[in-house]
Amino acid sequence: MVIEISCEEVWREISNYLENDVSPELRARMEAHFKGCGHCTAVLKGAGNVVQLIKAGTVFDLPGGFSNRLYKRLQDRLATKKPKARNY
Amino acid sequence: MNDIYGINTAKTEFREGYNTADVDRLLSVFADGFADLSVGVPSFFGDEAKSVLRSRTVSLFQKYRVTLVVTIMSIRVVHNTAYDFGGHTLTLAPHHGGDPITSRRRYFELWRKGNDAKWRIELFIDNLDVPPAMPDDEIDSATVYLQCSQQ
Repeated sequence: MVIEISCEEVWREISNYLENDVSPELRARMEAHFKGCGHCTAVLKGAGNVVQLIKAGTVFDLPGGFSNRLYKRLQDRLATKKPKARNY
Repeated sequence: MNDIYGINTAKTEFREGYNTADVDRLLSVFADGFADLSVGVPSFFGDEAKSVLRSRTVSLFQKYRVTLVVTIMSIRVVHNTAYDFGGHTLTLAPHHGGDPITSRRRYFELWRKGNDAKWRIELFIDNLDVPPAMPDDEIDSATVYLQCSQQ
């Protein structure tokens, strides 16, 4: 019988889960949770993508001025940021 | 066993009570004299709450095979009191055939730790979930209140 686990506990352990650094019991609980929780599954996929990108070690040449444009865009976005709907 | 794990364990018993159609197992998670504010049915308090929950679930299990998926969003513990909230996806498959019915509900539970160190629900309340939406897509509040008042 797999014991329940909350979203907050899953988020705390997600990087350990991706690195195979959780106990078999915790892994089973997290996997059962992912089956029923779309939000945590999205967090898992997002974190997994970041790990894959870092592992790939590919270096991209960015066009001139990219950093400034990205920074300004992030600032504009944060200034108009709205709360997101929750989808567990 | 820490308190968070204790509540997760109790919530697992709650889930398995439904999924194995075991009324006693389900009721073991509720405190004597709990408050039942479940959606769509009259509220019950005190001694009546458990007997009503028993008769409701006996009737439910006679008619349906129940599958409950629990999604606990958060658990907060303060001394011997705790609360959690999240979602329940309940699927009812009729024993005598027919399409299964699935409903999603949002719940809040207030827990109390007993002298035996077990956590039990003192208050249960839920409501029907609706699909997620971005703030811009939400319908206006007046429409929501009108819909609720017509139920």
